[in-house]
Amino acid sequence: MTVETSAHQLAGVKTHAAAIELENVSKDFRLESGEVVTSVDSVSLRIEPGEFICVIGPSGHGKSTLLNMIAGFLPPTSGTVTVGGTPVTKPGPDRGVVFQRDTLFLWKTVAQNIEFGLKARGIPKVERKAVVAEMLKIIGLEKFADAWPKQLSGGMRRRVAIAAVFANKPEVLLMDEPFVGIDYLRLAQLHEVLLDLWQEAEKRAVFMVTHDVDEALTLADRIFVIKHGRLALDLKVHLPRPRLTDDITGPEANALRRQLLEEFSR
Amino acid sequence: MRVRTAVPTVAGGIAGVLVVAAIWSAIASVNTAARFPVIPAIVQATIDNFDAAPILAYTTFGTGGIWSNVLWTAQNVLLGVATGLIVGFATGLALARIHWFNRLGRLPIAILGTVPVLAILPFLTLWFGNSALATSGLVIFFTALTVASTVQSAAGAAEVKYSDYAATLGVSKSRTTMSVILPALVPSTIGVVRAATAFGWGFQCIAEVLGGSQGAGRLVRSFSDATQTAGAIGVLIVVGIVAVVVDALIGLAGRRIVRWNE
Repeated sequence: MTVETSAHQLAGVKTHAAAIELENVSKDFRLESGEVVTSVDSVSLRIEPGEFICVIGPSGHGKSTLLNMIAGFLPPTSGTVTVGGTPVTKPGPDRGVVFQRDTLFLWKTVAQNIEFGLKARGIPKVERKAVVAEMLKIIGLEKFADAWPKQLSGGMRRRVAIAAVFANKPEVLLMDEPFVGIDYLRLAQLHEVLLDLWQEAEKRAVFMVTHDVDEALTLADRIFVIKHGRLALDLKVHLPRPRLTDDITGPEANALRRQLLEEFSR
Repeated sequence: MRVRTAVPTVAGGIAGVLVVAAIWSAIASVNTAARFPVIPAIVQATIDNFDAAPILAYTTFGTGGIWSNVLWTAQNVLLGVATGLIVGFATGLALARIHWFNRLGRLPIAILGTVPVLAILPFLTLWFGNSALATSGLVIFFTALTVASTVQSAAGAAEVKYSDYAATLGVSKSRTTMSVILPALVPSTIGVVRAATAFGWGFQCIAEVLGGSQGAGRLVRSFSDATQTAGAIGVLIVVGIVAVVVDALIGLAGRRIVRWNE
């Protein structure tokens, strides 16, 4: 699929559609006092299909607002948000979202949770079962297919939540601090699952909000730093994959870490 | 494991009943039988009137005994709760999910919610005489209001928690209501049905005492008018036992239905 973005139209260049593209996107909120606060301020960015983006920045500086606009939960005050070349007007299955809060349906088993989106979209049963089996294998919970969410640990629930979204095969995966409060060992396991699922579909882009610089260095192709609603830094991460502890603690990673921390404290 | 955890509960319950019986016996020993009959007299009156209570023939030209009248009351409580549940559930869900219905219905329902339940009894008698509907009206009214309020707030919470997520899975609004919001409401609805049933016994008996032609409340009034206090207390004890059994059955069914709940 090819489209011409406005910037490229000016240049007369035809390109592949970006996975996510924001052009001069701003979002204002009116407080109860009547004061207007700009949460996102004229952000323009382009994310290519297959890119893994981590978004970091101080709390309350517009990271989640940005994600919510891409998801279609919030309309921008000005500017345009497009996903796969199509303007975003409302939430849709092309943009899977893993929320910080637990959204598993408690009355559905693990397998039913993973299957739910496929069923709602009328995917045939045979195909659904195959996808569920594949997802359960990737997240390592084959034995828990018939378990209720209440019977799972926090880390297992996160894995199911991610699988339920990936099963829907969205073009873009949006994640808002999905691993908050998970211990270090489980976090490594979840990162592995996430990267497996991401790499399974070549063109799937991930847009993940996090507070954890190490997590961003472990996962991302590019790291965006959002400060005061603006894109303060767009940092490319050229570390090899899979990224082992040596890669994350090596000189190149430390240089990137320093650059990010300097941007934070500026 | 379950037996082990049930033993202290049952033992505690029996001990509680024995304590109440001891206090009652102490009070009865210094009072007249018309005010505080002794426990053996209550047991005897209950046995004597269980299948047939002659007092009914004098006061209402009616027949039957404690058991048939308690069953009548139980049937009306359960029918009243079921009717109130259907009305309240539909109303609460519509208030939460249908914008125009919320605008139209919110204020009238809020005003109805402020009406003391017993204050509507004279109206029910005016409109429906001393029929079963008149006496069950209180139970229906109370259940419908409490269920509507609970369902509305639970549906609102479920919407906040799940509707964005469902939308990103490509689920339509109507399917979200059926497959997501409705199941999410089940635990809180079962809780409120249990509470409404517990209060329902009281409302049903009050309605029968004040204007019913039969039922446990009417029988209590007949015994009371004839100063047969032991018989009146016997009716209340049987009502209490049936109410506890019904509550246990609802609780058991509820636990089975929402076995997935945390």
